[in-house]
Amino acid sequence: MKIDSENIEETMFEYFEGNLSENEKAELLNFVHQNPEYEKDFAQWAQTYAHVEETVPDYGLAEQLLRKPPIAWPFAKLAFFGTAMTISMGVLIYFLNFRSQDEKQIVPVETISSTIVTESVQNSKPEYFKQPSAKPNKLSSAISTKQNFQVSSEKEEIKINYNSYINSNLLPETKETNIKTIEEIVASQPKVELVVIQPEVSKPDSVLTPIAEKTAEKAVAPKKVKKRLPLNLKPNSNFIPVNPNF
Amino acid sequence: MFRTLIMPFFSIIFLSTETLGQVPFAQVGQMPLLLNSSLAGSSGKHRISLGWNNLFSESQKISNYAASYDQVLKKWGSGIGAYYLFQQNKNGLVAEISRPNFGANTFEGNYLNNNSFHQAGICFAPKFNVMRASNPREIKCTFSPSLFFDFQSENKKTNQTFYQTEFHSTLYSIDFPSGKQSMDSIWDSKLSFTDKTQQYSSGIGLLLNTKNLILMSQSKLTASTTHETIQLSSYYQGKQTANSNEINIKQTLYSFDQNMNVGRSFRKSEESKFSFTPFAGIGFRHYLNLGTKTDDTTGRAVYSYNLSSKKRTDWNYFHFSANFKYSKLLFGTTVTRSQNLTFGGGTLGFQNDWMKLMGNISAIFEGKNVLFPKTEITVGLSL
Repeated sequence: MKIDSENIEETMFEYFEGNLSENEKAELLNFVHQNPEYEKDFAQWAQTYAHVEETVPDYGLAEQLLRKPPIAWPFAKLAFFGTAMTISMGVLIYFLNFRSQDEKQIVPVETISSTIVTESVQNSKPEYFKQPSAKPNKLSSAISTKQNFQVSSEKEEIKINYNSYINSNLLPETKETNIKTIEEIVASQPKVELVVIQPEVSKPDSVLTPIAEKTAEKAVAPKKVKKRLPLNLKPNSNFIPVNPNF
Repeated sequence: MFRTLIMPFFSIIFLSTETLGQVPFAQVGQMPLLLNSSLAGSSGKHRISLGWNNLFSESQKISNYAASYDQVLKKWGSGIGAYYLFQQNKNGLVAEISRPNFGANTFEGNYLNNNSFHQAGICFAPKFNVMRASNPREIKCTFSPSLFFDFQSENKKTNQTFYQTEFHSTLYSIDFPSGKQSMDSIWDSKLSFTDKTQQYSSGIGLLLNTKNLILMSQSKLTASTTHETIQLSSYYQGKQTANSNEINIKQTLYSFDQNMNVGRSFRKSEESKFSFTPFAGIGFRHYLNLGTKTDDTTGRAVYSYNLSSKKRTDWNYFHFSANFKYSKLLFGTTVTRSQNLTFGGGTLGFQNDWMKLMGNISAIFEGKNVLFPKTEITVGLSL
């Protein structure tokens, strides 16, 4: 290999990389000796490779590094059971306070369910639904008006759990002709509050009748409103402080 | 309901005709627990109140030092507090005594009475809210009854024997129950007098306040046990001419104190920096069993405290102040009656969220002459 000013840098690199043969190394060193202007560059190459040291990381300190301690099992156990208890208590309190048997609530129309004859309804868009769901379920598709309900040859009976009853007139029936529109159901209702009871599908009449009587009685009797004393007899730390101007 | 709460304040005033507890400070609001025990915890914070005043006259010198602390117990919805008052009362300057001092004569005052008075008490005041009928969740006002116990100790004694000059005065003793007039020829008299009094008081306080209005009333029943020792000696031209027996009197006096205070803070709006707060109070003390007592030794009637039946009811408390506040600057005027003296003066102070510093200068005026100047500094800290 002939060394000249054009390839001297490359040759020096190869030298320090160890890619030259003995003859090439001798030729390079002879060239540098004969051309002192390249001795400085050669020295700089030598210094560069002298500071580069390949060191192997010491992993002996790895065990002394801080690590996130694993969650102690007793604490995790406690947290799990505590969370479960809290959720259970919350659900229990909800059902005891907000869903008591004496509570009256107006049942939304959408929760009315009935045993009706339905079928894979095709092109049925009930008029009374203002916002039809993206995925109309069987319930929404089953409750339809007489006009829009299309009965196909294949019929399938769907029984759905009752949430509430309005009155005996709204008893769902299996026959298509007895299905009423939502507007008809609402219009036929007396303006009283509804009672939520445990449904018994087998004996709907016996369950509904006393409820209707109770609601009628309660609608007549006015409620007595308890008058509260304006003075709170329990000492309270949340009081009006005296004006600091006094 | 609001009106029925106001009635007790007015009815208690007319139960008796005399005397009310004294608050020996011009700015009575700066010493809340001395004024009314229902103010314990009324600020809603931990509060420390400190006060000092000084009264000078030719024959009297009175100094008062007071401190109190109160806070709210949130668990109980009540305020608790404790207070302490110390009063140094030197009065009855009779004569000046000339004493030789390094070849020169110096004069020093000699007071007939050198009294030290200590008062300490604790109070408990639960807070009740009166709600609005239109909105049961909105507080209309706060009602706070309170209970307090108070102990007072007073020592009166002659600083030293004094030499009465030709002043005319009436002295009482077991030998002279109607009083004895000192005669011009008797220009020396010696009186030894000690009086130790311990008083136990208890009472109730009432407080009704809204955001800007305050109405207070306090009733106190005091049992005062006094042990007096009196001896009168007369001298004429250096020779003792008469000497009475030593009188020892121990008796218990019962008195009823009643006071009422009302104040209102006026402000144009919530953002306004200027406010005006007038405050007024009145009170009396009535001695329930003041009268003649029979000395067990001699069987003769003795008057106590040189008080006649006319002074069984003493209107000893009156206060009126009009304080103005602009931003953090306080200024105003006060008229106060205490120590059987009525003072009028001005107030200057500073107030921020946690501190209220007030200074008061008042005096008794006779025409244009100032008889008794009184200086006062009070500070209230809310923590």
